Amino acid sequence: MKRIILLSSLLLLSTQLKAEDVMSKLQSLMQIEPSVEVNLGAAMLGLLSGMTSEEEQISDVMKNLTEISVRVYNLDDDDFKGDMAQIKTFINAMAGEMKSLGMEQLAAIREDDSTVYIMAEMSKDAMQGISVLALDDESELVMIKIGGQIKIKDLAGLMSRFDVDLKDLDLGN
Amino acid sequence: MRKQPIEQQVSAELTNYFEHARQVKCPPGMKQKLYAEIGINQSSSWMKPAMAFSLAAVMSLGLLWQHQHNKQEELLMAAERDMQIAMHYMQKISAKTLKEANTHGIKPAIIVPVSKSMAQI
Repeated sequence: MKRIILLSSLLLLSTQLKAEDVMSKLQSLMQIEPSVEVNLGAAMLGLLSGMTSEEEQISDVMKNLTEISVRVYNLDDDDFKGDMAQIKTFINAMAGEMKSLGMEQLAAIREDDSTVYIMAEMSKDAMQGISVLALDDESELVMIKIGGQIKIKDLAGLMSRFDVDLKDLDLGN
Repeated sequence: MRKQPIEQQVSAELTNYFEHARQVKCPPGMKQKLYAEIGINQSSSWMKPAMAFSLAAVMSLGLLWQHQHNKQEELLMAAERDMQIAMHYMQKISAKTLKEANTHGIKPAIIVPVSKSMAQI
């Protein structure tokens, strides 16, 4: 029993490490700073959960989250000198690597100007995390990682609760 | 001849009187009146600094609490903003996935779980 727990922990740890690796690999490939960088850890998500305590359903979902990381690279940026084909290859390779680590592919789009993967880390009866890799119209590269126990229907609730027009936000640019 | 014994007697009586007077405690009312007459308020002599110190301590604690509260508010605002950004991109990508799935025929088995969840929004 102890051995099974140890092996499961090691497997989970290696999966986590790989997920973090993707962010650093992406950063070294892009060689520009992301236009949007979001890192929310368990502590901040816990605080947000407390803030939304009046909305019980949202609060419960957030309690179970451990991480939300977002990187957005603006490919129309003058400083960006990367190769689009190389980025597409990278995204496909990363999705393949995630699959080989046991992640499940929820959705994929492969078009001339867009490549999107939605990958999920599944456990026996729940989703343990979701990773999104998206190259949109060859103008924006988005990588999102949401860690923690989550159901997709809950994610939909979170999206509608927090989604706003980005023009309304002060992004400090 | 008798002058000296009288002087000695007077001196002894006076010494005895003042010694007796010294041993008698001053009544509190009189004591307060005397303090007030010479401008000393016995209770305020230690109460004033203590009250000032207490007031300063309470005010410092209040300011500290306010600072911590503001700091936490700022953190929460930043976290909510980050959450809004994250969910905006999730929404954008999810919407795109659905739209493209409908028009470009992505494998239905792959897209079904996502589209089901989106239907519940």
